[in-house]
Amino acid sequence: MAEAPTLAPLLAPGAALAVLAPAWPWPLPPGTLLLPAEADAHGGLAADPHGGLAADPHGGLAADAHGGLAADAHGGQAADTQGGLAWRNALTAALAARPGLLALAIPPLAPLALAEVLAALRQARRAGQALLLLTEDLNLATALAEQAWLPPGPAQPIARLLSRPPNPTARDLVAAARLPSAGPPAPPPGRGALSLHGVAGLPLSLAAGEILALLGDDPAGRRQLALTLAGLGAAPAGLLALDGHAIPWPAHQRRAAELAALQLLLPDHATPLDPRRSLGAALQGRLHSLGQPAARAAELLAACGLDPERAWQTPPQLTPVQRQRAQLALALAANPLVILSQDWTAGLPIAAAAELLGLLARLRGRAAWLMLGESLPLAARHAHRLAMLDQGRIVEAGATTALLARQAHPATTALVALAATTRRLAAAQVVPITAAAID
Amino acid sequence: MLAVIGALLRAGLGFLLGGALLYLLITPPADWSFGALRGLAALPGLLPAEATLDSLLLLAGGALLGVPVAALLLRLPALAHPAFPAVALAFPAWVLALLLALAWSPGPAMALAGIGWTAALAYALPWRAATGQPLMAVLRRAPTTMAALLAVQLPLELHCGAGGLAAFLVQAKHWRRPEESLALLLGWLALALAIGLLARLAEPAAARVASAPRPSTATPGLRQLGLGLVLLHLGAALLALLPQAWPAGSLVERLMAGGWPLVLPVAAAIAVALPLGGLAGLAYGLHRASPGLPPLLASLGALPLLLAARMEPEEPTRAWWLALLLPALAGLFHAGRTAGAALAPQGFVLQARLRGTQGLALALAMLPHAAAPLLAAAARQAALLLLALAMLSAIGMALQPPEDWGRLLLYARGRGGPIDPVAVLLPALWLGSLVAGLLLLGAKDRTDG
Repeated sequence: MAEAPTLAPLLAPGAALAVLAPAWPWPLPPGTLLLPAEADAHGGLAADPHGGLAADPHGGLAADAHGGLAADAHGGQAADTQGGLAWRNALTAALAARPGLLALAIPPLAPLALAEVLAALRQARRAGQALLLLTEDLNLATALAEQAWLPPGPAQPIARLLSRPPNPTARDLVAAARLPSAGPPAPPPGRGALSLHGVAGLPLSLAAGEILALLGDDPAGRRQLALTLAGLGAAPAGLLALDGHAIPWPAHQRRAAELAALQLLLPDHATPLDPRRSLGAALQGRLHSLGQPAARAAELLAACGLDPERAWQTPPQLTPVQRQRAQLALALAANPLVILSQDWTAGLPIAAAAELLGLLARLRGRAAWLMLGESLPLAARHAHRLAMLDQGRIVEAGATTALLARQAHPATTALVALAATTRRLAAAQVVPITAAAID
Repeated sequence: MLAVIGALLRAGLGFLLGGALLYLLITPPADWSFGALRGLAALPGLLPAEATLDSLLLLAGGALLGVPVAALLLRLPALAHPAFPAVALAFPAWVLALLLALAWSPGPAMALAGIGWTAALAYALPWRAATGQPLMAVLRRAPTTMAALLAVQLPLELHCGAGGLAAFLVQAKHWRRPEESLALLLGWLALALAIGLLARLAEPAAARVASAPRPSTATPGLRQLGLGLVLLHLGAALLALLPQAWPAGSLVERLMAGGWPLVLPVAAAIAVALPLGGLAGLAYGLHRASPGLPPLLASLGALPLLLAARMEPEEPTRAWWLALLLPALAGLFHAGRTAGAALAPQGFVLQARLRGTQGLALALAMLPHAAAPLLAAAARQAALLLLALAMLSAIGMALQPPEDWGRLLLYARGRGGPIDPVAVLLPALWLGSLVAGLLLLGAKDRTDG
């Protein structure tokens, strides 16, 4: 294991370092308390001074075979129905223990909960607590720390990383964190593709070809909403209309055409592909049941960026990114009217997430896309409109450009404020006088 | 600490009350006297005919004895060994077989040991992960959880025992009239409902414990050992089909051939129940994640054996087959339901449902993912049925013509003459090794057997 000399100054009171790599392969200094994104109420873990990790059977630490800490904040299957409550309790306990260094990864949280967590961490820093944050989100890193470390290479001030990214990985991170000030141009007006009346609060409808990003809430809440919209899970209270016609609920009462018209994309950790079926077999079966020529399979795979050679591999033999490409190919095979994606790129490297979202935006043709739960900077690149979820209900919606400029609901304000952190810092470097606005 | 003792006492009382309730239900009120208690409950066959209140005390004593034994077991490192549940669960088969064989010799102490052992296993097995830790630390951690576990675990543990219990009840000969049979049926149903309700109430805490890591009972080596034992039995039994493979009329020959009358009906029942019960359970679990059913189901599964015990048929009747089939169906339905509930939230199941697949078609599509737990459950179920059949046979309740292992025990027990230890030990060990082999083969992956 390589030495990590950059950690020494970090033990200074109140210092904070954001590690931007997806995994933590180095030994942590003695006195470190680990708080992984999957930590539950049993709290964090004391790092083993010998470099390995003392995995408490109840701690739920995702330590990989090489002793590294899988610090991927969005990869965990933390299907915590109480909005990360257990993790937040573990954080409180960890802060109260006043460890020499608190190494933590923050799980996906609802915007207001995340704002509270950030406030608590800032306060702990002021009280002298040293922090080590493991993340790929530069906005989160910038909001908490001044130093960032993207191994290999030395740690450096985040401001310098933002203005002069040292390598392609850093450039991807910076690009993925930059919140655009305006959304894409509005699509040509079309017929209504999907409309929700009283399903999750506001009546909402998507025109053909439109992209709506539904942000906010935690993954468990978004999953529930996605399943309800797709025709599984809890029964909706309101009315669901596809292409102007009310469609029955649950899904098995729908006709084949209605089923094909709405396609659901799920995150990789939800195992959306049958692990025992090869891609080719799944795709051929799908095309056959849809009455389409089998020759389309190779075409679809190639369009989604998959080598047709891979068709005879099963999902466990593929990388997570390749699996998500395959899932996209299966969804596109149905020529859907509406694509519903829920945390589709969760757990993937942020550059791959950006690429996949671009791929879907390009390949969907005239299909409307209801995007649940992607990072705001990435979503804003594609979404014509943004809507905000709070506790399972849509509390605010508007055109992307308008909503980024002005928000009414506190959850939206918190989300936009965090996503604009790197943009503000970059602006602050040009006009140093607004530096106080960072905190 | 008090809460834990309370929980253990409650569990013991449940054990006791279950037997007492059954007895009261099948006994005409006029006979409710200490005199009528003579035939009570589990052990009339094990006790001298003079025993009256003793049997009741034995049950209570066994349930209480299980508490300190469980405490000792929790200190035992071997508890965490993957093979422990299978061997331990087969152990009562050996002990009980011995008890039955030695029935009319001084039995109470051994009976107490048998009941105590079963109770101790029921208490200790859910805590396998905690072995090696100080007992108090283990118990203090979650007394309510422990109570919940007992509520969930006990009915399942008792499932197997209930058939035997019922068989013993027959010895009392108190209930030959139809209305009494109906009372028995309703009483068992009420008991099953009560157990199911209790388990339902205990569900959240039990789920919390179930999600905690536990040592696996399934390791490749042990699976192979189980497979080896089963194949050994199969080979010996096949060899017995050849003329003069073993010395004619010897104990060994009767032993080798004695498996067929037990194994064939059990295999037939499993062969029917695996596709029917397993698929139905899988379909149920894939669509509905409602808990609460399994304990009820498990208790109900013991009901047919109860009735079978009454029948004493000369040859297999339809009811006899049904009595064999229903517990297998219940057990495999439960296994299928558990596997289905584990699969239901998976993304590929959701996608299949969004393609319009549902019901039996969905269960069939997901069968490859549930095959391993279903086959393991089939092996476990076969072990339990085998045990139950042999026990019934050992007290003279089997089909008449063929001579099986239980009947060998019955003969070894003889009519008051001296007992040949080999004639007792050999069938008991032979039966026990097959049961242990099947249990090892069907070891669960995460939970205890």
